[in-house]
Amino acid sequence: MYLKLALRNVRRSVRDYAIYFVTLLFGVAVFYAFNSIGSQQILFDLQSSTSERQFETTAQFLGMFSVVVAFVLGFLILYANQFLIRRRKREFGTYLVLGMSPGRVSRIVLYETVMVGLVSLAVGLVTGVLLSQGLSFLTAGLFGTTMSNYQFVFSQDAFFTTLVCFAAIYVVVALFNTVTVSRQKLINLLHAEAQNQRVGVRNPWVCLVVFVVSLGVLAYAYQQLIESGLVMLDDPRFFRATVAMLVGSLLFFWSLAGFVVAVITRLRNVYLRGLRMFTVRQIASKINTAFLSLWAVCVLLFFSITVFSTGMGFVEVFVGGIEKANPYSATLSAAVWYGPDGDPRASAGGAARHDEMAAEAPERLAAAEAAHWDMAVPLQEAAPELWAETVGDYAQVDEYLLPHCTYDALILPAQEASPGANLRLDDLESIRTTEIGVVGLSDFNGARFLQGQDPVTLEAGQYALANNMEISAELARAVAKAAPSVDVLGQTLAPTGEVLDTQLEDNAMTAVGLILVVPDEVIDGLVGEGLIPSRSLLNVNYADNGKTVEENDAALAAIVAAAQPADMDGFEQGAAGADDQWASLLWPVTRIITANEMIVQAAGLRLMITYLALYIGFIFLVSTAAILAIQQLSQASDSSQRYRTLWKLGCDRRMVFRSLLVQVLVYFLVPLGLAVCHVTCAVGVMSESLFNAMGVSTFAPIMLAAILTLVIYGGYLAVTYFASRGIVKGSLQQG
Amino acid sequence: MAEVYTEPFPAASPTGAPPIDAFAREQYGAHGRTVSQPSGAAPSSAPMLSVRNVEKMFGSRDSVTRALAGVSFDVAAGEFVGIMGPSGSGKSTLLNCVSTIDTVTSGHILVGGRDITTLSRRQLAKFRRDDLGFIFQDSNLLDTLTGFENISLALTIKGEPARAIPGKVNAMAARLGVDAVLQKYPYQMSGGQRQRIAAARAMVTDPKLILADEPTGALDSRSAAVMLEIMEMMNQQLGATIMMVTHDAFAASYTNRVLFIKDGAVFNELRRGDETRDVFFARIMEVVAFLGGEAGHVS
Repeated sequence: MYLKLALRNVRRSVRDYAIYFVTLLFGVAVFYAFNSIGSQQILFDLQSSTSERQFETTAQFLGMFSVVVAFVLGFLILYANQFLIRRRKREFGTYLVLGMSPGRVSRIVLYETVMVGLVSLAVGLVTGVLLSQGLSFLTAGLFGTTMSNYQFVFSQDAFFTTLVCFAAIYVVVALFNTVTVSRQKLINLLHAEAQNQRVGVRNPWVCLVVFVVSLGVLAYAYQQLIESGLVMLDDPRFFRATVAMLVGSLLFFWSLAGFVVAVITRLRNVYLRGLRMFTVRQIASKINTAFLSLWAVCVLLFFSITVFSTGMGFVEVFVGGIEKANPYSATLSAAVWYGPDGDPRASAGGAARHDEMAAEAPERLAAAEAAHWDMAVPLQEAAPELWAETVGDYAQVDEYLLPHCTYDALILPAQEASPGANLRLDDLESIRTTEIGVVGLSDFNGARFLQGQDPVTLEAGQYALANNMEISAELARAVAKAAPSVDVLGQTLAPTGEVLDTQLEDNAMTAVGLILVVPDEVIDGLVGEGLIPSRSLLNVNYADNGKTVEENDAALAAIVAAAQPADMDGFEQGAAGADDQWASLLWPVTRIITANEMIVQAAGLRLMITYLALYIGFIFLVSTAAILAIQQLSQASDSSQRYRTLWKLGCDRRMVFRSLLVQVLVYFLVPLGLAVCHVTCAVGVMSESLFNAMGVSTFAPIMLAAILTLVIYGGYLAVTYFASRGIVKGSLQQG
Repeated sequence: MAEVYTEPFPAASPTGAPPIDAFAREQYGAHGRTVSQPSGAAPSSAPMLSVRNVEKMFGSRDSVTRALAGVSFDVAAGEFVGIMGPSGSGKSTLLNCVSTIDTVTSGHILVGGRDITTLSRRQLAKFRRDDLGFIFQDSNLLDTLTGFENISLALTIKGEPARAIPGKVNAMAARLGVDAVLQKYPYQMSGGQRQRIAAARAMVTDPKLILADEPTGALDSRSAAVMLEIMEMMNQQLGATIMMVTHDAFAASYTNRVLFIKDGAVFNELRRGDETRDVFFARIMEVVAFLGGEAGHVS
């Protein structure tokens, strides 16, 4: 019988339950979908352990974040539930008056909670399973592959995690309800509606002052943010901007209503028209009482929209040019020798480096000189068959540093030639004291050959400038414009005037920064002076041997292992082979980077950041929108007497509903508006300082963030309007 | 107890006016507004409010409650009429029907000659804001608005131009002696001040008919007397036509005429004529005592 009563209650107050239900549904669906990512990998032919590891890391990360999400959702559900209870106090009071024991009433509430919980859990899980199928396609896109064997994925783990999490939340809600109902005094339950709320009225002059101050504080925050450029998060200006933004927003919401009312009441022609007085006062009283939650909502919105729109921008910064940055199958690099005690600055430079290396790394120097600095020789000797089978074309690039000739020789003329240009010398840090890097023309053309580019030609006495790093692009243009000549060993080299774009190694990003390409004779001259390379890069393209990329990667590692036995000190080999070690005491290889590994890693990073951004964005948006929705609904329900008075005074429904719509719109759009201002500032600064410099467009992620906000926020707005319209309509119809 | 269903009219129309065809009434009643009436004046020939054989049933087909069982009476322009009756007599239902908050089951209600029982929902809203003024027991001021704004609201809803509003509001507030609390919020006012603001809100639109539902019900006796004097002033000096539902004989003694409702029909009628208020009060009390006694006898 109580079950029947509960069932009828739910059916009767479907509209009240709408927000609660939608929030639960969203929560369950998103929670399941993002927790199911671990299971998606069966969809893809993941050939390397790297890809699998990326999946695992992402799933772990999302799992960790899910704990936070579970708490957020739990809080939200409790909050939504509180609204339902408050709205029905009178009903519970009636039950108690009729002689029902508090325990029984609690049980009715419990039944209702469980019913709505079960339905939303079921619907939410179905939605979540569908959503996770959509995420599979997204995953495929992020990995740049297509799904060869699509199948319907159901993640048992995610299913049980969701079940357990939400069951726990429901138990807390049920406990909470029981306690709330049983602790209420009967008189309060019955006269819940009669309890008149006092309108909080603030002194208009104080509001005016505080409002102006808040705008000032916000302006200060923006100014600090713009100055800091948002590059370093430990910048004190960034800290000041954050604090000022928080304080400014709080003051803004505290004083907004009072300020607007003070202004608008003086505009008689605007104010004394239709229901505007009523609408303005309704909004003002709500904003005044709920300024703290509006503030929290604004901050959360700001955070989630920023995370969402810049997260993907960051992915692009990290991995956007990954194909271009990895034109070779693999790069074996030789750091050769860093300097005394591993410190380049301790080196006397020039020809002295040879002697320093002879003192500190004699084995390596001996091996290098025995092979005439040709990296392929010892590798080929160590594993001739494997080498022949694995390696197709290969070419070595040796980089030398011009003795005692720093980049100032280029920068000073460039500054003179382009006085207004932002050469970003601060970001390039120690470039002015670094010696200019040069590469021989035939080495350079060898690299170009490997990636199918036409060879470059140089006249005698000419040099060409190579650069493909975004951070130094402006400087490279300025140098090309200034066209300074460079003296090498008494010979003056004049520039060709163009900037060459050739990636000289596989790397996480395009990494050629202001390298001079010089005629081979110049290099020969430098070597004749006793110079050793600062580093050597052996770029390899795999032979067309029918093996997979992963197998070739393994073969290459085996070749290096043959030349540099594993029982000696190790060196950095990249993530894929972090466990493998080779002797770094020996020449040539100090690092292996394979294109495949870089690309998979990039895809993994993209997967993780994208999913995190989506997850955070989604949950925070739902939370904020739900909080606003619930507050609006409680106000509509608390104000039903006021609407009834309006109706008696002769307002038709259209006028009342229009006022209601304006109230809902303003209440939703005010925190969003301020948040969007903050976002515009923050993202603008980041675009200026980071994304533009990296050549990354933030347009697409921002549009995506806008659409997501529009759908979720707009959806809640619509549900809120119609639900509160229902509440008001109900109050107009009664008696 | 209940009257015969088929009887079209009660034995006699209390005002003595013959039943008039609704359409004919509409033609000459619409502009027949008398502005000022001397105290205790006789009703003018064109009634401002005409209630014709109104019935109101509640409940389903199986169990019908007849709250109004064919009520008929007229209120002339410039009249101050009190409606009295024991609880359950149907006086609140009557007020709700006249105020269009509730609908009649059968019968007609004409205000200024216009039949309001046939209006659409939107026309009803327009009727309420243009032709009616309300004074409720609990004042029903909007607690978020100041006194000034509460009075203005009646005008802005009507679509009155903004520049005309402050003048009208201030003038009406001054007449009712609440100009000092115009900038206060309802919770900052006394009960009497709230009721007078509500009266100003009802009067400011210059309505055809003011409906007052126990306007002194929540007031102490001193505030109640002030409120009633103000309503008397509104009637006599501002020419307002007022219909007041009350259970309080003292309040009713301020009116020109008192209608007693019992079991959903007009039971008796008292005219004040040239009597002093004390005499009128004594006569009202007699009827109340009789009604109360009978009620006690029945139960």
